[in-house]
Amino acid sequence: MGLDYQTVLWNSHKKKYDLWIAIGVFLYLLTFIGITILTNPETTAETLIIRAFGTLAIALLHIVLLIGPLSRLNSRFLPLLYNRRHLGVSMFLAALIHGAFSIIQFHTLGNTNAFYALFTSNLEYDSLTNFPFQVLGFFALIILFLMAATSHDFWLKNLSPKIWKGLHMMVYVAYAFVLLHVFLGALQQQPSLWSISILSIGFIVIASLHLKAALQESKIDKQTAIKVEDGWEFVCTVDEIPEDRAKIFIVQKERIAIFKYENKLSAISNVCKHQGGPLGEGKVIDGCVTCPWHGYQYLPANGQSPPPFTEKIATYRLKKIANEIYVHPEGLAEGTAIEPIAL
Amino acid sequence: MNTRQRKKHKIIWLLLLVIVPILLVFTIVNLKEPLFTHNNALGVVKGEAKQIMLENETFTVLLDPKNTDGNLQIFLKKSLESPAPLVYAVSKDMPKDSYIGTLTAKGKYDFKINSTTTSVKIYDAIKKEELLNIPLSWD
Repeated sequence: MGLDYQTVLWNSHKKKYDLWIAIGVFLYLLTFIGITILTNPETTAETLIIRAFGTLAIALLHIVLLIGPLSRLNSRFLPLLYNRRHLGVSMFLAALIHGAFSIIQFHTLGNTNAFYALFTSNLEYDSLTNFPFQVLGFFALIILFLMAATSHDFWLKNLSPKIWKGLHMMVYVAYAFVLLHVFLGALQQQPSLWSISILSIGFIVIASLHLKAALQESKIDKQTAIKVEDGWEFVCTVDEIPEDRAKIFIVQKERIAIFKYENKLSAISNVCKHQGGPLGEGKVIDGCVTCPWHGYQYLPANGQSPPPFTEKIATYRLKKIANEIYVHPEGLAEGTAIEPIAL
Repeated sequence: MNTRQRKKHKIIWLLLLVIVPILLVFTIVNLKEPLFTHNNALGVVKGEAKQIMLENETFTVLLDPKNTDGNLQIFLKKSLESPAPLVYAVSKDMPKDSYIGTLTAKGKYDFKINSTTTSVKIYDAIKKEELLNIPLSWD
């Protein structure tokens, strides 16, 4: 969480994380190049670069796509989510090197424009199995470029979280394009049972984890109020909420989080203004609800980020009858202060 | 994510889970006999009356004058460096070489050529250079 836009908001955690990315990338490239030189010494430098960075980009894309559902299914993976964008940008850079060298190697030796040649060297656009695979790779690269270019919080704020999230969900389409790019391209020229198996298993694992997380979330979204009294919905008893933590409930088809802190209760929207993180899965730290994804903070009594920050989320009215907590399902305007329920 | 985004996410993955495997299966089925080896090619030759026009570690080129469907078979045993090697039939009767196909990947290719064809040329259209010229014998 930063007040001013900086290129990268470094902290010790991010530096450590990026160091691991750099070490991993270096070791992968070293291993790939070493094995290729040993097993196929005739490979040219250009081909080696194209293959090394292409496979690196695919490996990183798989890791990027695994982090999201793993974090939803197990909170131990949340530290990986915290800095996922650096991994995503690294993946884009690897894909860019692969794409640039491929265009130079395959399309710049003729007398036609390289990009024109890219789209016209294979015109079987009506074929399912001979579809031009390079075009699929090109469009995947465009999507990854848009995502890398708008990954900064400046764009998140200026595009609005809704548009930004929609744009970044395009990574799933890019993933499908990348898979088809490999299956229609590299694997047609050098069929390998090993490569087919790795990519197929990768897809099954990623798709299964995303669906498992999605179905788990759908189940939560289908919860309905057990008891309604004069428009107030019963949610739980006071004892069910742990100290400095929250319980999440569904009202008006959206999630709210009821926090217990300093012997008080407050209800706020569960959706963080930053990247839509689940606030109800975070903690109250220094009196502020702290998003578990990237550490954005809000005051539980009014849903406002502490000054000088300006983010605001909706708040909800609560009432306590004996030990039972009730919420009024109608959300108040973002940042509206409500007196917390004293316990 | 809010409820709408979660729903969108679920729909996207349900669609991908159905569409992607179907497309991948099509591409796997389309693979050009990747396991067809040198020995397999020779086995075919012994069993049928085909003549070997070229035999090296990259190509096996067979000519079967009696086969009217596809009398020229090219077995590409390892990938070529050229991204788009084109195959031309060269004939003394024709002023220009006739394009008969492209070698896209490792595998078996069947071509139908005229008996006046004297050689088959493999040409790199990007570098504009002849990669190979295989003389044919119709005896």
